[in-house]
Amino acid sequence: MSSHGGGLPQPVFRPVGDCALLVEFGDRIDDQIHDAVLNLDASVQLANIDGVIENVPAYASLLIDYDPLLTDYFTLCKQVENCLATGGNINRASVEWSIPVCYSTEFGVDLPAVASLLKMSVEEIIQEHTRATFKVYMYGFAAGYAYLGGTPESIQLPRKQAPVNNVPTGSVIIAGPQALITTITMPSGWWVIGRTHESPLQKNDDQPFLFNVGDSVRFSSISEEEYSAGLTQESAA
Amino acid sequence: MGARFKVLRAGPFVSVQDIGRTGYKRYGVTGSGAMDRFSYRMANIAVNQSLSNPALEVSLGGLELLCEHGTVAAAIAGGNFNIQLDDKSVQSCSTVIIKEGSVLRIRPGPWGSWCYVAFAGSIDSDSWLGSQSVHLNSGLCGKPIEVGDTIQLSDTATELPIVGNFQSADELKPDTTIRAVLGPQDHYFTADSIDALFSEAFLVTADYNRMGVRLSGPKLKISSPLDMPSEPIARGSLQVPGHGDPLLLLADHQSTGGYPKVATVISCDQDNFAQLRSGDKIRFESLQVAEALEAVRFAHQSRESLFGSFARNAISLEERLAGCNLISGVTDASANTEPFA
Repeated sequence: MSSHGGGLPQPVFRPVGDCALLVEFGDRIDDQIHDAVLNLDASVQLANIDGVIENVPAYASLLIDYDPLLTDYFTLCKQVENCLATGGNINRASVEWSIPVCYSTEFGVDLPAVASLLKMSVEEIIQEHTRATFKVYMYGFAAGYAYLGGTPESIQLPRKQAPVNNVPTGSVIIAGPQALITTITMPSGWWVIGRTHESPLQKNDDQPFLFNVGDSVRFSSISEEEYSAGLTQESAA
Repeated sequence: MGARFKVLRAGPFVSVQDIGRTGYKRYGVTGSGAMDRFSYRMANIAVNQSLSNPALEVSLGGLELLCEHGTVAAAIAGGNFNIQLDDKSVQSCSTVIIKEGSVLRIRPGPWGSWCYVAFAGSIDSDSWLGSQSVHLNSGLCGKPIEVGDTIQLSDTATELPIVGNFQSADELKPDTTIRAVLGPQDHYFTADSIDALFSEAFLVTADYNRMGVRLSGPKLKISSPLDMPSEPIARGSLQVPGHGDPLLLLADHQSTGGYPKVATVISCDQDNFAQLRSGDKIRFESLQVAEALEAVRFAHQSRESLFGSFARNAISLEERLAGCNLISGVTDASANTEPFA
């Protein structure tokens, strides 16, 4: 019936208690599946359905929170089916962000280890990381934790055997195809390759989060001097 | 008018909470808000405040406040805690007038894990993304309440339409049957595990905070390999990590997760569950989604009619100004005959 994703199987609808509907498009991380999630997300928002509180897009599924006093699971399922049938060609606005990163080994503490494991030079790792275009797949785990996909295969590594404590805020970290910018100091088993002043978690209420799910992100290399001067994408532009 | 409190004692997890934040789960921001939304609402209704008026959420760690300045009316509702205003004991689900120099002490009582102190006034505290609910893990909206903190109130009232005890606390004692809808990832689990979930008892463990609580009972086993990418999480989810014990995710739950969720506790029973304590035994009852809808709408109507009964029991202003002895013995009667300030 619908053209979402072109050739993807029909999504599965699952009730989540009395307050949410989960629409599952697949069980893997895949750009086409994720586009189908984003299309439905946009289409449900556009439809302005009574009782819908908010949507939560993830890699392969969309959660739709609703108020059970205003609507119910069955009514909502029908409305969402309509959105699927009509929402295949939504023109989603997607922004490309450029994030200045200082890849010095002072901040990218794992760069020498990553280079050694991959039998590449540190410069080559930086080159690979800065040539790729990443996609914001979802936020999760903590406020502003934007999961980016698109780490080139040439620099993909599985996560470390054990997490390392106190990875500082603003760290650029990678594991497998994923990358992210940390927004709090925390333990992490991902590889720390750089540091940025640019945080997905903004400190103002007008635009509290830098990226929207579906946006593109590229990283650019800056010197320690530029980093010390507080370079962000606004000041670089 | 305002009032100011000094925190003399505060246990862990005592914080300012309101109805929570919506609209930011897509950015990784969970809902937060009161653990027991029913009791939080009840306290606010008793002090004639809006349903989003922030209140103090008191844990089993307790709270002791000195009123350093001003006079304010407040309601205390939720679990059956031991409450004292100076040397007078106050029943749970009561309103009180707290005067300058008074000390309010709240400690764990016969049952319940959380109680709410709602003021006839506004708590001046940090606000983030449309809510004053403290998110304990991120620190993005202030911190939990600690000894020595000052709590500043503005727009305070010193009179209330509802005076004294307005609801029998023991009528609110939590049920140990918790209703849940199977899914969304029940298909990952063995049939025996699903049977066990709804036929055997589970213990509420001490591994309990605002994010969730670990339950212990029959181990829930996964039948097919775990290959799901992280999915969004709803409050009330029974998430099962590798150890096989379900974690019931509550107000400060993470917004996404990669472990399968076997079932989801319905919203009204999440409030009920929050008042249980570690050591309590619960059983899950399976509801179809249509039954869950009926149950939650019925619970809403029951709550509304209960709240309506408080208003009907409210003593009229004329009666109070007449100085009659209509006030239950829990507060100092003279406090209720003062004219509006």
